Amino acid sequence: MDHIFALVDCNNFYVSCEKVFDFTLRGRPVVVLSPNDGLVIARSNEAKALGFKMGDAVFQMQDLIKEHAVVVFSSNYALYFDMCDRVREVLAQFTPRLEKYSIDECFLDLSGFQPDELEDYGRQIKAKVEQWTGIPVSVGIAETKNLAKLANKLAKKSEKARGVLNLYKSPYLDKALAATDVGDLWGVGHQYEMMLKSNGIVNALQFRDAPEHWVRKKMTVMGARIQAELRRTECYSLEELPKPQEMVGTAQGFGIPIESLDELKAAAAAYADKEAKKLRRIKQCVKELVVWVQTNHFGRDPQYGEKAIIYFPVASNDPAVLIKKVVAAVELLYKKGYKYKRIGLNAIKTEMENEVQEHLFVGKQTSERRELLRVIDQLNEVTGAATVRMASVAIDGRWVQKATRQSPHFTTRNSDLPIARVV
Amino acid sequence: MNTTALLLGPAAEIFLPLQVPLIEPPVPASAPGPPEEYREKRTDLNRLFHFGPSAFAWTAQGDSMIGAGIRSGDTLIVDRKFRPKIGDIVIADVNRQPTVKRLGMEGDKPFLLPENPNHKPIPIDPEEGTTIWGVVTGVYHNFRNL
Repeated sequence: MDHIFALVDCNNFYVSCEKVFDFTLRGRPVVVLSPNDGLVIARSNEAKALGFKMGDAVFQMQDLIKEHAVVVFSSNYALYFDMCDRVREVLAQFTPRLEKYSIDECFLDLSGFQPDELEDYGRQIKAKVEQWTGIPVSVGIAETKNLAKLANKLAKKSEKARGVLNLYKSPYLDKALAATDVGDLWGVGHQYEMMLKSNGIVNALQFRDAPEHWVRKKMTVMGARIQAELRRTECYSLEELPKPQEMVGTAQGFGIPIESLDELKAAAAAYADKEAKKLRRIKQCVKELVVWVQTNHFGRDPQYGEKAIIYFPVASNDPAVLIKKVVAAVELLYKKGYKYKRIGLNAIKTEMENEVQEHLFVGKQTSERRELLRVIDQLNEVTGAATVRMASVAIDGRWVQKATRQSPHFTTRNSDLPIARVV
Repeated sequence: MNTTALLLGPAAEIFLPLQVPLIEPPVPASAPGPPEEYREKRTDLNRLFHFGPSAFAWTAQGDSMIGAGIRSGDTLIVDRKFRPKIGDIVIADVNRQPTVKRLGMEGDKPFLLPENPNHKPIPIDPEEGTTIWGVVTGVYHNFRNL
């Protein structure tokens, strides 16, 4: 059956979330930073116009920030996740077949609609999401996911489109392809972009019309699929079920480099706790965990990086167990005299919680213990992460990620409700 | 439905559904026991007031709407899904600040009205209009310091 795909994505999502509750941000340059307050991960249109790019290191942008009074926020994922849920709930009213592609993008299956109804439906979707949640979105509609993505990008750029573009069976498809840079295609990364452009292929139209065997040779079957999708042949169907987590990892940089073993162990305990929580959330236990420590890549200090693998006789997601092992591993990896910038944890082998293999000498996690952990997780979900935690997990300490400019958790903490002036 | 039971519930947060009771332990096959299929989910505030993705909670600060029954410190339920109409209590953008007012007319001119004689109405420019964030559909007042 031929499908109709719509890609709905939120414009400048993290910034838009902040703008919902803070009216003073309208028309101003605003940026949102990554969890360690290091990089720019979202920008308002005004900030984009000033030259802020995704991934810019904020310490390099200080002059620009001061000169234009750019508003800087630490990331507030509690808020963004809840707003994302709200947007999805509204979208679900338009079709039961929804793919949660990312925190700010959803694919909708609009198969069955008449071609001449599609643009109107797209406008209804946009209007309703914006009214109900305050988040502005763009909609692209076409026969395949790649074309829907392309339509979505053009919907944003083109003033005429006003945020909605329907390319399904459109006589303007070639024009749209010609207006799309080949590097903007989904699945075409920097390397492929350079290769294509050096071969004279600069826009999506030229890419579509390039010989198939050449594309397949240069870009493997993945490239061939992108091309086929531009030719209106569906290669990627709607994925309604979540992909199984392949690797669960926690790797974050420290606010300030760590030199002492005690501080490094405290950080390790906190990260191990986080990793345990991530595993519990998806009901998995780790069997093999890679732990690594690393000095700062960019600094001029002496460099050191080393890793270790922890084997768990019984797969676990118990924070007490993970903390003990990770802290012990970090102690072994630690070398005096270096400034550590990052600890990384990567669960390379996991088992489903209810399928954990027993071990002759090591007991399995009891159901009481599992229940206790579940209650702690629920409590922390309501009152804020790390309200109840293992004694060894430090939340203070100079190395804790900064988040100094985080907005209140407006929709997830009763103590942070936005304030309405009754004056 | 027992309303008092609702408000006396465990110290659960207002916007979380109260816990669904755990299933009773299995009963031996010989005794049929009370039929589980008749069990219903305990009423929670989200379902009682049909809160959905467009409903948000705000804290009121100030007393200009005392005539409408809104006291400083109260929790306002604000729903974005409704199209604001004359007579509604709304959150409006007034000088870039979220402000609670009643949408009204004085003669043929639209205004943002307070409900307190000590406060002044704010005229709405018919050309520019005013940005309404959402309609205040309800208010929760806490009688006892929790």
